[in-house]
Formats: sequence, C-alpha cells, structure tokens
Amino acid sequence: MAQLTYEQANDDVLGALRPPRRLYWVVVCVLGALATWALALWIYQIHMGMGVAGINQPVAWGIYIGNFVFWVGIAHSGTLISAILHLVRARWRTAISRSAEAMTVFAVMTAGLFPFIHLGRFWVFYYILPYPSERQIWPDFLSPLVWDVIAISTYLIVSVIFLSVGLVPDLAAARDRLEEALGPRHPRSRFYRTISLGWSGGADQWRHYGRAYLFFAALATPLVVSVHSVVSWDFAMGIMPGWHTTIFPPYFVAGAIHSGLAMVLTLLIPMRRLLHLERLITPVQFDAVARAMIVTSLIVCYAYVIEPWMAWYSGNIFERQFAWWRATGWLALVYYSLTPLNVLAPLAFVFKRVRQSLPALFVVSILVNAGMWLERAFIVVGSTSHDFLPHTWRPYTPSWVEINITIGAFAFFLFCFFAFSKTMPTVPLNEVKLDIEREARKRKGEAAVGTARIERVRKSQGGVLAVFGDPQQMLAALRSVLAQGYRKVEVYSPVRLDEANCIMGRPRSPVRFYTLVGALSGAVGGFWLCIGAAELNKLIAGGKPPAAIIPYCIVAFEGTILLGTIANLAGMLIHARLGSPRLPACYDRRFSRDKFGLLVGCEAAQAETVRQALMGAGAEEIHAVH
Amino acid sequence: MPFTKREGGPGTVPAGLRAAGWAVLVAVGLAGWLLSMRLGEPARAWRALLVNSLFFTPLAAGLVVWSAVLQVSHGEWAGRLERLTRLGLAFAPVSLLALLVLWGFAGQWAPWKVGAQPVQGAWLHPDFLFARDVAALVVFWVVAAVYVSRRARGNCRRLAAWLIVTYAVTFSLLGFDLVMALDPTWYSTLMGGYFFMSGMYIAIAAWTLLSVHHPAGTADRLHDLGKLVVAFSMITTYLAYSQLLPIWYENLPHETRFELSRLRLGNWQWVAWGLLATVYMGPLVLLLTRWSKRTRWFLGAVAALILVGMWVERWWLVEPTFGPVAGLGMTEVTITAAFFGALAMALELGRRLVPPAPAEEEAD
Repeated sequence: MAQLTYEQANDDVLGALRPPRRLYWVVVCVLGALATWALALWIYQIHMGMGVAGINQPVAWGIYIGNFVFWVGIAHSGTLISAILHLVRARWRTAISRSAEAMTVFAVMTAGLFPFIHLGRFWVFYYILPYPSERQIWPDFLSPLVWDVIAISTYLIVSVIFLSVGLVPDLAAARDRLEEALGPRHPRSRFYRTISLGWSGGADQWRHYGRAYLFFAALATPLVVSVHSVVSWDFAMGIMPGWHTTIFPPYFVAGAIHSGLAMVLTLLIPMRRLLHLERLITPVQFDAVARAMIVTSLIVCYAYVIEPWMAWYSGNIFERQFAWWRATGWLALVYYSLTPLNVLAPLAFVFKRVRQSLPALFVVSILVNAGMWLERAFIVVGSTSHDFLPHTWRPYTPSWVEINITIGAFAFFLFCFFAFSKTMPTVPLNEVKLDIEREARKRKGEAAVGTARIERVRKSQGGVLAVFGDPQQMLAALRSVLAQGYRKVEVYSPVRLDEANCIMGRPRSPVRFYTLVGALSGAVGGFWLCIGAAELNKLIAGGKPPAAIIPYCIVAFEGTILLGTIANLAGMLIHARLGSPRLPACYDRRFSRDKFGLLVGCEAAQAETVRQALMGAGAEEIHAVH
Repeated sequence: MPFTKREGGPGTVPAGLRAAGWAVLVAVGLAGWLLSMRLGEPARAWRALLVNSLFFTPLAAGLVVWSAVLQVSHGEWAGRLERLTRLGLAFAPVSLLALLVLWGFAGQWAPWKVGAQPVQGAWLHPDFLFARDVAALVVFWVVAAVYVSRRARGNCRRLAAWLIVTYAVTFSLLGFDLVMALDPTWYSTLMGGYFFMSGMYIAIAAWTLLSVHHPAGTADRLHDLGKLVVAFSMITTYLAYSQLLPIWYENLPHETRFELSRLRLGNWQWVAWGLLATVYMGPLVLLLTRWSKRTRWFLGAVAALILVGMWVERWWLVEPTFGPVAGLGMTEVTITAAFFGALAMALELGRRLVPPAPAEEEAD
C-alpha cells in the first residue's frame, strides 16, 4: 500500500462503486430470494403459531436464540478492528476496518431479528421498553432480558454512528468524483452530496472529526465487551447446569471476537477480488487477522478446559452429571466437534504458510464459523434439554421452519453486505491516505506548535487560494503566511493533517466536553431510570431489594456509552459545521482526492504579496477568491 | 550498553549502598515478622507471607510478561523502558523460596488437611497442591529466563508467545490453588482468569512507577503507560464484576459465602469500598485527562496508589476466608517490608545482569 499515490488509492476505493456486473446481480437476487423466503416463513410461523418451530418444553430456547448469540458475536470483530485496534494504533487494520464496521451493523441487525422471531407475537415487544405508560408498568431492570434490549439497542446505535461518521470524508470524495464524472445534478451526485453533510476537508473539520473519532473508539471498546457479556448473562443468571458459571462473560466475548474475525476472512477474501481491492487489502491484513485468531482460539480453549474441570472440582452432582452427559449424550458429537473446529483448526495459523495461503485461510474461517455456530446452539440447547429433572429430559431437533429461517438470516446478512459494497466505500479512503502520508514522511519530527490566533475566513471576504500537490509544501507555505502576519487562513486536505492545526495554534477540540457531559448524564440517567422504576414497581423478586445497585450498573454503563456517543456526535456536527450540503465557495473537488488547498483571507491590496509568497512556497496553482 | 548511574535510579546513592539498604530492610522485616509470629498468631503470619507471595510474584512475573506482550504485538513505543520489565526475572528465586517455605510449613496454616476433602480428594492434598504450583512456577521462570537471554540478542516473538501462554496457565493455577481453594467448598471458573489478569495490572502499575523515574520515560511513553494502566484497571474491574454478578444474582449459599465475607461481613466491606475507589474505578477517574497521564509525579503517585491498593486486594482475597475482622498489624507490615526490600534488591541485581536488547537502544 505504501507505494500507492493518493490518486491511485482514490481510484481503487471509489472504483469499486462502479455499476456492478451481471454475476453480482445474480448473487444479490439469490440472497434476496432466500431472505424473502425466510420472511415468508416467519409470517407463516406467526400465522400458524410457534408449534411449527421445534422448540417445546423443556427446550424453550432453540436455534433461534443460538442464532441470536452467534450473530451478536459476529458483530464483535468490527468493533475490535475499528475501535480497539485504532486505539492501539495497529495500522494493519486500516484497509479492512470499514468492511468490519459494516459487518458489525448488519450482524447486529440480523441478531436483533431473532428475539422477535422467537417471541411469536412480536408486536408486544414494546412491553420491554422503558417508556412512561399510563398503566405505570415499567420493565424490571433486574431482568437480563431487559439488559439485552438496552445493550443490543445501544450497540446498534453506536455501531451505526461509528460507521456513518467514519464514512463522511470518504462520501465527500465519492461526491466529488461523481460530480466530475456525472455532473452535479445527477441523482447519484445529489445523493452523495446530501449524505456527505458538506464535508470540505477543512483543517478545522479534521480537528473535530479526529477527536470525535477517537472518542467513538474509546466508547465503543468497553461497549463491545459489555454487549456479549450481557448476552452471556442471559445464561449465567439462569440456575441451569452448564449455564450458571462466572467465566461466561469473558468466554463469550473471546468467542464472539473469534467468530467475528473468522467472518472477516470469509467475507473479505472473495470481496477483495470481486471489488478489485487487491492493492489495498493485502495478505498482510489476513496474516494479522489470523494471528489475532490464534489468541482468541487459545482463550476459547482455556474456557473449554476450565468448564469440565470445574464441574468435577465443584462436587456439584448436577454440574458433574451435566458435564458427563455433554460428553456422552445425544449432543456428544457436537461437543466433540467444538475443539477441532474452534481451537485446533485456527491453531494451524501458527504456521506461516497457512497464514499466507488464501485458500487455507478461507477454509479455516468457514470451519470456525461452523464451529462457533454449533457452540452457540450447543450452549442454548444442551442445558435446557438436560436440566435437573430426569423425567423432563428431551432431545431437540430444529424444524424445517427454523432451519430455513436460519439460512435466510445468513442470506439477509450477506445481502446487506453486498448492497453496502456497491453503494459505500468499503475501504476507509481517508485512513488509507493518512497511511500513505505517514509512509511518505516517515516523521521528520513534530511540527512546532504555533501560537498564532487564527480567525475563520468569512464567506463575504476575499482572499487567495493556493493549490498544492505536496502536503509538506503546503505546510511550509502556511508557516510562511503566518509568519508574515496573516491570521485569516484555512487549509483543505484529503487527509487529516494534525500539523496544520498545530501550526495554526488551534486548541484541542472542545468535543471532549460534550462527550464527558453526555457520558456522565447517561450514567446518572441509567441509575435514575432503574431506581425510579424500582421505586414505582416496588417488586421484590428473588429475595432481592427493589432497588439493587449491582445489576443497575449495567443499565448505567450502557447509558454512559449511549449518551456519551450521541453527545460526541452532536459536538462534532456543531463544531465541524456539518449538516448542510453546501460547500465553501473556494472549494475545489480535488481537495478530497489528492490536492491540498491553502486559503489566505486578505484585502485586495495585499493579494499580490500573498500570491508571491505562495508561489514561492511551491503552489501549483493560485486562485483569487471573491 | 549498561545503564548509567543516573538511569539506575537515584543517581546520588551508589548502587552498593542501595543494595545494602535493601538488604537491611529485608533483614529487619524478616526479624519483625518472625517476632510477630512468635508473639502473635502463627497462622496469620503465614497467611501474611501468602498474601505477599500472591502480590509480589505476579508483579515480577507480570513485568517480564509485559516485555513479551510488546514483542508479540510488535510494540516499539517503549524504547529503553522495555528493559525495566525484564528486570523482574531477578525476583524468581525469592518467589520460589516463598512458595517452598509456604509448602514446608503448610501444616501450620493451610486449610487443606489430608483426607479432609471428600470432593476434591488428592487434588487438594497439600503436597500435591504445592508440588504442582512450584513445578508450574519453575517452568514459568525457566521460560522467562530463556526469553530474557534471547531478547538480548534481538526479537524472539515465538518464545514471547510461549511465555505469555505459560504465564496464563501458571498463574491461573496459582489463583485456583492459593486463593480459591483456601475455601475448598467455594468455586468460581473465573478466579484463575481474574488472578492472572490482575497480575498484569499490578505489573503495569509497577512498570509505570519504575518508568516515571527513568530518563527514557518521555511524556509520550508515560502517556501510553497511563492508558495501559487505565485499560487494565477496567479489565480487572470487569472480571471482578463478572464474578460478582452471577453470584449475587443467584444468591446460592455455597457461592455467596465468598462475596458476603468480603462485601458485607465485619469491617471488610470498608476495605471493599476502598478498593472500588482506588484500584477498580480510581484510575479511570484519576487518569482521565491528558495532563494526568503525561505528568511524572502525578502518574507515579497514581501507580503507587494502585500498587498499595492491589496489595490490599490480595489481602482482601485471602484473609476474609479466615475471619470477619480486618486488621493490619506488625505481622503484615514487616513481611511486606521484607518482600519490598527483596524486590528492590532483585531489581538492582537485574540492572547488572539483564542486558539491553539491540532494538531498545535504536528506538531511543
């Protein structure tokens, strides 16, 4: 990737948005048909009743809930790659982060369908929402199912915001490219102009954007851990053998990331070829994903070993008999398949040759996906079909409706992903350009922090706009004009240039205060909601006090993340002046591709002096702005 | 290149004099501890030794593992600070000696009586328990020693990965055996994971404290260390909460005995509140701002606070199993002073014995 230019990266990423070929349409139609078939079966299930599904006493949670857990897990790798690896500055994530983020959103959407499908009369779902009803019936915030609703909704909202914010600079690049190719009045140009929110790549916009993106990552990182922990507590809070165990939260989170990384490989290995992204998504990324999977497979292995050992150590007869049944009962075949599929197969990645072979990576990723789906179904079905009472023990077989809806869910997920890949940039173009810029510079030392107080160039004011091909020349010109006493300047750039803001002496973005206030409000609001509802309900369930702080921490935490994220977004939109599709009059479409603009506001009498200074600094073009 | 005098710590005090000072601290601490054992409760004194073993051994081991983590993750940001982590190897003899002494005198303090555990049987036989723990710790330190010697010659990522795996297995076992099994009827699948991850938390706090005194501890590096401290405080808090919540929720007597004795009974609940404020939620608040992570004295003070807090946390993990009243006395203070002196001596020794890696010099 280092040898690419800005323009080549632009062409590669945005070239993928060109109209698709026939094969694409065939695949999308097949996927759409399968998803529609699943929808029809869901309607059939609603019409006929839940009896058409295989779930029955004692297995009241069948593969619908297994699917829910699996798809929430798939969602996790997106946040891992986008947020966690962003925080630890792992550059290899750049090219695949957007696809992973999109995968997160579609996986959460898919996961979110299953509680509805499982609910039967899904239209009564609003009972679980915390809203002020005239009957004064509030949800019980001690219930893990309420935590689920809150956590999954928060995750979906935060993931959508994270994905959308990351897209904005790239949508501006798509807008400019389409306006040049199709004209500004073309519907596609209008569409991208609207959703790019008036992004111009001004240094001030980059300042707020960069800060907000960092906070999105910081908020999404604990969120991703919390979400699958909450899902694991659906089981761990139950008293069933095999479910009630303290290791479930980290075990579920590790398993989720494991399956999510496998799905990244499954999707991106063919997609890079279909979208001609071989120059951007290279074997380096796949190698790194494979290495990460070695770690997650070891954590999963740790849990696989600890669980049966602790069943023996505890001396609890129910745990012991359940552990024995898992190894010898009717689900034993699934049990014995888990270690080979989820641990041994990905451990093959310790060999470099396996990590560097795309077919091997693809095969292992399919095996892990299958293994993790089986594991989720095994956890859900196993404990319910073999609980405390021998006379209730029953096997479970999914019905044809459940199987078809499960297949339809995979089709729905892939349909969404395919649709996304042809409408949105699947590689974060602005981050790719940032990597190119970093490689080019190899950091010659931090730019000196300026002290000049910069003023915004007003729309009514004239000035001189210089266009540069080299960001370093532009920065040198910026220093030069500031040294000459000009204070009304703005920089336009296709890539985040922190030095520009340093030179201009701009302070750190105030977005952080919005985030802090939002997060604190969310924490207080979460506790307030739970304690208020408890005081109103005054229910004593399970011997617990009506207002119990320990479980309410979950709601408060999700509130912290949700309001922190929304406030962060609001701060960024306000300070970066995003929303209106209108652009500055001096804006040049090349500023989102490979050129850098320096606008110096000045009086007409000073224009010639400024022009001379900018020409001397290496400007490729000079324009007078009125 | 060996460390210069200034890099070695307080430059005005010669290394030999410093070592002598630490040796005196060890001697005085041990003497005080033996005296308190003779005058007070011997079992409590042995448990104080256990508490210190559970604090200082993960600290030293975790330090070396942090170097391995940097290797595996291709982290080059630490520069010469990475060498500080490998000094933890020099504490290996002390950690093994402490475990052997605990084994030798198990009859005076250990809750596992031969033939008294019908459920776990031979698994909790004191000799088998200590034999496997000592063996696991020996394996860990051997792998660590080989890693440190190879690291001096360059990168050794494969061995670093093995060291991390060995650490996770060894310290899970120690957590299950020396914390969870103190009450043989209580069990939690997460205790091993909590123990080894909180060990990494102790180690990152110790590394931070060493780094704020080091010339290579630039503002950027301290900033990164501060972020890691916050991250590991959150991970440790998450694991503690993950263990607490299902136990609180189900309210089963054989499970709640562990949490109740620490959160409700006697004056241990005040210790628990203190831990919540210092080691669990404290770093997130104290190190929230950029300034706090880049300011030497403040970051050092927070790291010291965490280390003290995590010592208390080890004490809080062990002692409530044996009594509802929290009491710190001469027994705990003296043996802690001896361990602290031993760790300081080990780090002094490590400065002479552990060579720097080539890449560390280049990174600076």
